[in-house]
Amino acid sequence: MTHRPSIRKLLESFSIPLLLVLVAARQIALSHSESLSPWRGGGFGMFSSLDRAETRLLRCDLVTDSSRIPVDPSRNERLSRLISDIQSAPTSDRLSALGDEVVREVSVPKAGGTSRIHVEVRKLRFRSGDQRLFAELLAYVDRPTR
Amino acid sequence: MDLVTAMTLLLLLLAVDDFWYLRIPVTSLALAGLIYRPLTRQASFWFLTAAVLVIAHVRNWQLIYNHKYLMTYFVLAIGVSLLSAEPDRTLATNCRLLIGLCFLFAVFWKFYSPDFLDGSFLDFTLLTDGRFEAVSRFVGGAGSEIFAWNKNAVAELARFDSRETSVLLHGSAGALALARFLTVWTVVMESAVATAFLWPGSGGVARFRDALLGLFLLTTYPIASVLTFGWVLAAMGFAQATSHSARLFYAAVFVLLPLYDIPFGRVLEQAFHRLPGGAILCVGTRQ
Repeated sequence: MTHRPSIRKLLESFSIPLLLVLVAARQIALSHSESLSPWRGGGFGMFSSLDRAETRLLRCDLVTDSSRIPVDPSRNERLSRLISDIQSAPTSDRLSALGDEVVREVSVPKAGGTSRIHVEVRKLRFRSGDQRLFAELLAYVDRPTR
Repeated sequence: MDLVTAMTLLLLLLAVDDFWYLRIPVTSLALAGLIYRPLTRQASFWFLTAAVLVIAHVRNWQLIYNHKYLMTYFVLAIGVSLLSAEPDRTLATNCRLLIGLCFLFAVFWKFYSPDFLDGSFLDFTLLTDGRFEAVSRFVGGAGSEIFAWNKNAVAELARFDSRETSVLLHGSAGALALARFLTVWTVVMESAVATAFLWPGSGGVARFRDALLGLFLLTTYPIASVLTFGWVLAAMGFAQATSHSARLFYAAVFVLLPLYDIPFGRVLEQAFHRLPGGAILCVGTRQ
């Protein structure tokens, strides 16, 4: 007679490790589809890449026909959570939401011409050979302000 | 099991994230468990704690670090184990698998990331991350002027109104050599731990589980001061260990890990009068 482990015993031993595998697999998928940082999301990619959420650069510009005005959204405490989310996973929806918030807060030139809001996230890449640190474009939105 | 639950409660008290809806209930639960120990022998106590962790962590899933996920799995595993006929054995199996899988995915990312295997990630880290500064100075020969330059260069790139897309950093041949050595060492160590912990049964490489995880804990955390991750691994290592000596080792690591926060590099530098007068000892940042 062979001894077969019961379903209950299997669940007790393997359900939590299986949960880890599912979350980590989701993190790998999201790192593709939403540029999720390897350091975040439960996939254990910490200390594997420079592309850490905190080091991702957020640049935000109000662009008119004649000028390009950089805006610092991090000065607004209320946007800190949205900015952290964007740095972890810069989806179009989040970038657009930040663009809307920025437009709401700065005075957009009204007279004539067009104006656009440009929000972009860049990730760092280091080339040891010539010691150069690059800020590579990861995601952006560029849309009219009205 | 009682020591494992005590370690876990201490872990929860010391290392839980600062969201109020997480910190307050978890602190109360942990204190209750430490004061009235029979509570910690109830699966429901751990499922309640896990529920608080899961709710807070799901709400902030893209912000929290990986060891917070591991901590949540650990708490869930304790709850599940207490429902089983053999709690110690079930918890040991869970912890072995969780440690093995955690390291397996860590190795996956090391191979998958374009900037790890060529050494550039660790080279950059050694030249810019304050937690690694002492090692970079003493072993890699990267002086404080290199750190100062690199700090300014990174800040220039990160300025909100910057139009730069690249900057030049300064490095040292020693730091690059150290980065390459650490790259190979990390991949070898993490692969070995993953293999040993996922190896079925207790023969073969499984016999070296505790030695390998112990070596990882002793060699990694003095350099990368991510104490919370060390605590989680030490507690889980303790829970799965079969020998008395291994348990004693994990317990000692758990208790002594905070010593790694001592800025040994700066202490040594001051001892050798290398720092200018008035320099302040800084404690490494935690995650």
